[in-house]
Amino acid sequence: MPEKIKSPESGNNLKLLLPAGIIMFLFVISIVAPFLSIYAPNKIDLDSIKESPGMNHPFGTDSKGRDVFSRVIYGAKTSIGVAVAAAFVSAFIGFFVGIVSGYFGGRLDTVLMSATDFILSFPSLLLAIAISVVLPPGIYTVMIAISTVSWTSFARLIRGHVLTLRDMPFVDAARAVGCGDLRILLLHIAPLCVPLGLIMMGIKMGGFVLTEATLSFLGLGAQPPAPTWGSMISANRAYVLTEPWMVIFPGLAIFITALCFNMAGESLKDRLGATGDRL
Amino acid sequence: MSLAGERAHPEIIENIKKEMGIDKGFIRQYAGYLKLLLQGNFGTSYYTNRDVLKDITAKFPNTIVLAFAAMLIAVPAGTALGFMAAYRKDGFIDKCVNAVSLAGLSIPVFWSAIMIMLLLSLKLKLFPPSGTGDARFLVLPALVLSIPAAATLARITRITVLDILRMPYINTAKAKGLSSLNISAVHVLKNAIIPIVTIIGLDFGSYLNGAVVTETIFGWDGLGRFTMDGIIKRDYPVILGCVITGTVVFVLVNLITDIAYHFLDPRIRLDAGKN
Repeated sequence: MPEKIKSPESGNNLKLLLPAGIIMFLFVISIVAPFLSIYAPNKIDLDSIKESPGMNHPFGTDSKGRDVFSRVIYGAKTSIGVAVAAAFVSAFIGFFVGIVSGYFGGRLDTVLMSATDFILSFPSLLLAIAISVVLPPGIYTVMIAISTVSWTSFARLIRGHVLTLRDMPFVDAARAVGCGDLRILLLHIAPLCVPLGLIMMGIKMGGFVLTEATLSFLGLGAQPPAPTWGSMISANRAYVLTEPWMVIFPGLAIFITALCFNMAGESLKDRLGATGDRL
Repeated sequence: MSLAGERAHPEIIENIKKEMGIDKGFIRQYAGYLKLLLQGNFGTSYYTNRDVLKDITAKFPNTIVLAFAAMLIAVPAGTALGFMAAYRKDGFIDKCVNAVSLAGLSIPVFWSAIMIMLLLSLKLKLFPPSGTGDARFLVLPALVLSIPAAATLARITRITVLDILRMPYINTAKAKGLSSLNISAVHVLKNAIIPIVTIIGLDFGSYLNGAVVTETIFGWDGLGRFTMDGIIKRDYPVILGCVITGTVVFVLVNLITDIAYHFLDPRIRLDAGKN
């Protein structure tokens, strides 16, 4: 029997929309959280210290009587927000470096690609840690650290794409009618690279969530008492044997968010077909 | 500031500043550090006053042992899963492997470390929860460290093997009547080795990254925990020394990977760039 040819769209929409929907839902909930009737994330209630999950506190309370459920909800804003922001910043830098490097080539290309190789020669998390240590801890530092480490993959991808586009007839045609380099780059080449950049963002986002969580676990991210999933785990690590819920739920939140981003990224990758396999 | 204490005499603070060289400008501090570095000197820790290089060389073997133990788990598990998934493409096993490897890539290492410690050592009491010592102490951190690496490897192996199975020479081998075992072992495995070795080499960075968290949680006395201690105390010579060591190792491993190509596939020439 001949193999059925599957259109790339069939059955793939759900694989993209479901995880994307879950992430959107988490993010929206964390934004509107102040208007929902849940506990304030930093409200210390010494009467209900270390309560196990129940009707009042679905995820239990931590060692200071703070409601774990509402802290997890509020934490989504930081985790998803930082990952998305870092993705935009690194995509923007990588995009710029990629199209300039690919289009102009020559010495500029050599310099920019050496810079990329330089960054890539560090183990990424170690470099991110080194950056976060030098800057004052906080969410902006985490964003800077993640973007500094990860713009390189965007730059390489976009550069490769520009290299093939540069020799296309439509670029020659544009040049023949008298377009300048800037016009060709901005109006003819850049728009064709945008989809690739967006897909790369989708693929990278899961890793960004994990990096943000790791940095805040190490105490380099948002500072206490701000609720972030990573810092909740590190703060309550000591209670894991007796009150495991303080660690289990924030960890599950990180896991689910990263998994959703990775699933969405994978279905985006599938749409690219053979090109996607190399990402 | 924290070195001298909060109510230190201004003179003492000045002395410490002079000793550490931070009364000089930024450029001169950096030049000074580079000069030390070229002499093979990482400076001394702000807190313990010990030679950073000496501490690193003492702890480094532990990290390498841990990384290799993790590889010992990740490489067979990852390649086996990848092969199984590729041979049963779109089947049940493929879907399972896909789900497991996606989960493995999405699980935060520090969380899986705590959960595995809770389950296997605190509840089931199979392994000691933390410390440095014989193989029993090694199992848990190596297991945790191997999860993301195995997941990456499984995915890459699957894609590679699928590509190879599409090649005409596989059809030829089938047409010649070779047994499927022969085809898998000789034709598929041999050609899959190069991409797999590449990923093992490139992914070495993830062992170093993961070691920071894993060693801290399991109390394994290696470079990762040393880095973490440095971060907590803002002990910059220690942090810089560890980052530099990690980077050098990472680059060296990539170099070794490149050299290994030549032995795995003689068609790849090391001097190809010169022609």
